[in-house]
Amino acid sequence: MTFKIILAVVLGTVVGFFVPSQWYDATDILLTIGLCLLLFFVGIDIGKNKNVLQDIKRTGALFFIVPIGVAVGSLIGAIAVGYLLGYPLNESGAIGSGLGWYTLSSIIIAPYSSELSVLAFLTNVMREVFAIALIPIIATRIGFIEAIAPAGATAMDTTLPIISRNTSSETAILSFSTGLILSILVPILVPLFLFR
Amino acid sequence: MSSILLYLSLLIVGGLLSYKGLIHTQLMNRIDKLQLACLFALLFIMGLRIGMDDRVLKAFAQIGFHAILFALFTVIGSVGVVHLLLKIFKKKRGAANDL
Repeated sequence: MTFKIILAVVLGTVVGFFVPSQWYDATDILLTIGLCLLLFFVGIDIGKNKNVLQDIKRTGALFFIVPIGVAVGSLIGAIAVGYLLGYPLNESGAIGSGLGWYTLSSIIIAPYSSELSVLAFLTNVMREVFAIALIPIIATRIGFIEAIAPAGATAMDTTLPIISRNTSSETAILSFSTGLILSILVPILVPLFLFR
Repeated sequence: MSSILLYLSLLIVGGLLSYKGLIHTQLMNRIDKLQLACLFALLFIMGLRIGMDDRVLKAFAQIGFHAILFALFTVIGSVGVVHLLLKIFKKKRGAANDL
C-alpha cells in the first residue's frame, strides 16, 4: 500500500515536469472536487458503524489531548532541529506551526521571508509524504492514535483515508477532529511566531 | 475556512446518509474501492503540482535537506508527545477507575 502511494506521488511529479504551468490552476479545482468526493465517501464509511455517536462520546478528553500533543510535539521537534541548523527560535517555531498544511503556512510566511516560505512549503510537503509512508507502520507498531500524529492538519482530509484504512472507525473520527483543530491553529500559531 | 466547512459538512452528510441507511447497497459495497480511486487520483495530482512548480523544484536543490530534517523532527516530536500524553492519560484514567 505504502509503495503504491509513493509511486502515485512520484509518477505525478514526473508527469508534472512535462505539463504546462498554465494548467496549475486546473489542478486546484481537481484537488477540491477530489477531496469533496473523498470526504463524502469517508463519511459514508464512518456512518456504516452504527455506534458512531457512542464512539465520539468515548473519545472524550482525547478530542483535546491528541491535537495539543501533535502541536506541542511539532514545535519541540522544529525548534530542536532549527537550533542545530542555526535558525532563530521564532523562524523554526513558524516552520513547526505549519503542522503539515504547506500551502497556507508558506503563504503566511511569504511576506516575512521568501526563503523561509519555501522552507515551510517543502517541510510540510515532506511531512505529508512522511505521514503517508509512516501511518501504516506507526498504526501497527506503536498505536492507532499515535498514527494520527504525523498527519498534522492533513488528518482531516488528504491523509484521513490512509488513517481510516489502517486503524479503526473510532480513530478515523478522532483523526478528523484532530485535523480540524490543528487546521484552525495553523493561521493562529504561524503569525504568532513571526509577527509580534 | 470555507473549505474546512465544506469538507466537514460533506463528511457529516455522508455519515448521516449512511447511518440512516439511505445509501444504495451497490454504492455501499463499492465504497472501499471508490475511496482508494479518489485517494490515488489526489496523490497523483499532488505529485503533478510538485512537478509543475518551478519554485518547489529549485528550492529542493537549495534547502531540501533542511526541509527533510524539519519534517522528520516534527513527525518524531508529534508522535513522541502524543504517545507520552496517552500514557499519562491512561495512567490517570486507570488510577481514577481504581478509586
